[in-house]
Amino acid sequence: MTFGRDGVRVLSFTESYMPDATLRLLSAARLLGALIVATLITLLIDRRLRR
Amino acid sequence: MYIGHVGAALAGKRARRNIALLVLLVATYTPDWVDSGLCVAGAFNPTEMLSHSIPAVLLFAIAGFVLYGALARDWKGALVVAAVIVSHLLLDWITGYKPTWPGGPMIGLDLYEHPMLDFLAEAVVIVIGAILYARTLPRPERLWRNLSIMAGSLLFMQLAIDVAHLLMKSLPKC
Repeated sequence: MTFGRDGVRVLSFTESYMPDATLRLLSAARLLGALIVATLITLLIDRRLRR
Repeated sequence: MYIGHVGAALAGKRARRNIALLVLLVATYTPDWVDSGLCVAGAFNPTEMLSHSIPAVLLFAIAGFVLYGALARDWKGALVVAAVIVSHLLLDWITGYKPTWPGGPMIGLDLYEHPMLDFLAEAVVIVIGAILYARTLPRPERLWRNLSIMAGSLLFMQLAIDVAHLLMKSLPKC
């Protein structure tokens, strides 16, 4: 999060040009995606190492 | 903390080998799964009071304890699952800035604002978790190889997240 000299929050490019709903969905997808990818990759490696 | 939480799940595997790793991975990310659900539902609160406060995490831990204990008939394993859920909050206090209780202070070192320090903190947890986990694997003669594969993959993922965080710093969690 970036703030200007007057204390007003400066929006990033994505925040400035994307509708709130799109930004929220993108953030949810990013969070869910990261959780699922981390879980799946760990499980895959575990499976391979237990062979 | 991001991938560092996997380190806690791996340590849980060492503590109780008969618990499926998937269960421990779901447990270690419980508050973040809740956040994802709240985000999709449009009910996400930036303070994360419903997902990352002490009462919320204790509630998740009790639910995890009862659920796993009842389904697996393994109450010692249930304790490990509950401990892994609680570890989420403890680790997030190192890298994040989280609520304590309604009306209480926010606490945490907030290393997310310093991605390289965040990476270092996560790396320590990942490596410790991977060392503990590697001893649960068959073929002990391959200990270092197995340890390198697991720890290396997780560290690579964490590095990718920290680089992405540097590039998209102001994108909110939800």
